Amino acid sequence: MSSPNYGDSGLQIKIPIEIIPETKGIRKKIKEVQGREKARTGKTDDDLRKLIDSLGIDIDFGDVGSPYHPVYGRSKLTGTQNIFQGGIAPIVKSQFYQSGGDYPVPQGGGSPYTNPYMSSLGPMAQAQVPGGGVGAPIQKGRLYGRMANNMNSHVSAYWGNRLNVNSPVQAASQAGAGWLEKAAGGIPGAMAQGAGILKNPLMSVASRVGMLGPIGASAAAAVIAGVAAMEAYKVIVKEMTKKGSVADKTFRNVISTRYEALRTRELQQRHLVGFGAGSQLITTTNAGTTSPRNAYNTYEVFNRDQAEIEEKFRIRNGSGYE
Amino acid sequence: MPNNSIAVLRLESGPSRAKLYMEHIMIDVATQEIVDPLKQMYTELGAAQSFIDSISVEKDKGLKVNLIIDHRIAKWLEYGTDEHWISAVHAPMLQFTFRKTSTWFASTASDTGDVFTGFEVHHPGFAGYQVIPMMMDRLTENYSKKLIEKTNKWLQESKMR
Repeated sequence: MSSPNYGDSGLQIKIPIEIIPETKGIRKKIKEVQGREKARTGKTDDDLRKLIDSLGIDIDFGDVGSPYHPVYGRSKLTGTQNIFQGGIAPIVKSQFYQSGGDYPVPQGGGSPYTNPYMSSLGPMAQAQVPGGGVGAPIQKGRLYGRMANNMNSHVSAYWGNRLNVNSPVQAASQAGAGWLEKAAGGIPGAMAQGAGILKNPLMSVASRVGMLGPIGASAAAAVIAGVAAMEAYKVIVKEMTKKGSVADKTFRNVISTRYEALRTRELQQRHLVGFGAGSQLITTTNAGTTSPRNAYNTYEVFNRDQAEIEEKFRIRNGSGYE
Repeated sequence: MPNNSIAVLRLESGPSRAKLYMEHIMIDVATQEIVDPLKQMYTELGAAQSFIDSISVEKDKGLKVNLIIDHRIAKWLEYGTDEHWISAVHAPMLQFTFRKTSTWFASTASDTGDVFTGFEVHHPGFAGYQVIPMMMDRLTENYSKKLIEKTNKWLQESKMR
């Protein structure tokens, strides 16, 4: 039954109030918005995003409406998490292939893999493929079905509406977003030949994914080389035609020599020695009328020194007024 | 603002001049925009005069002011207490006053509601006035608005001189 102390200095209230300069506030605000955006979109792994962009295809990680949707939901790319913990697995290249080096191509109709989430996506349809065979259906969750099953995770990448199963060539151009044409140097024939291997569209997808690295790299290198060559050509031409460049100086020397030939031998000697001051040609009109102001051949002098002058001086305002 | 300070400030850049001016007028503005409304609010709630008088602002470093309520039981009054017993420590008996609105007022012997007792008294606990969380958002917003408004005005005037 003891009473507490009746107040002390520790019971006073002290509330700091600070004015934050605007720049600080803006930076903080930007970070806040970025963080919110990051949390909303789940774009935490830039590499995966770049990979997907470079493929030029849609990869959907699930239903948008799902509360566990990793892109629009709350997950992060934190490895092999279960879907119900809100995560997706990273795409590991080696897992695109089976142990024998083949591609994970399910044979026949229904998926051999059972996943409650995937089965909820609806029955998998049979797809007719030109070439007579019955290809594996392209459905959500099918391509990475094995991977997802193994990892007990939700990765339901699919090729979505952009892949037309009935037309492999069109499928290649659509799903690949033109990467095959680029790789083949823009030759449609080569593209069609490449599409010849696309009897099984699922296999084609897998193979394209597997081959994308080297082909894409070489194509990019070729394009870059072409661009570089074009740029180099332009640069060289520009350099050669530039005032004061080697070609320009050569040209001027030729012209100067021709002028020199018009001079008397005495004047030529004076030039060689360096007494060029009084050596200017006096040109007149045909009628012989000229004023002393226009009589001096300042043209040559101007042109001879112009390059040097331009190199040494810039335009400057010496008037005293701005 | 003293004239010699203005002369110095004119040599500074705009933001630093504004900052110095804000530091100069902060206390006045804070008193006007934060302390006075708080005092009025506590008065309406019936807080003790000593408590109301203890509200003030003090300048901190930079663009910072501290709102101080320097009272012995400021936190209890503001944030409340649990139930507790009260006993006389510095005097032989406790003395307290029932308000006229209290249900216990009629039971007191005096007309003013004064009570003296040698027993310990049970305090049922107090929720606190909770004024600061209620008012602070609006007050700080008004404070910053006023500060910026004054500073902008001063900057324009000093530019014209």
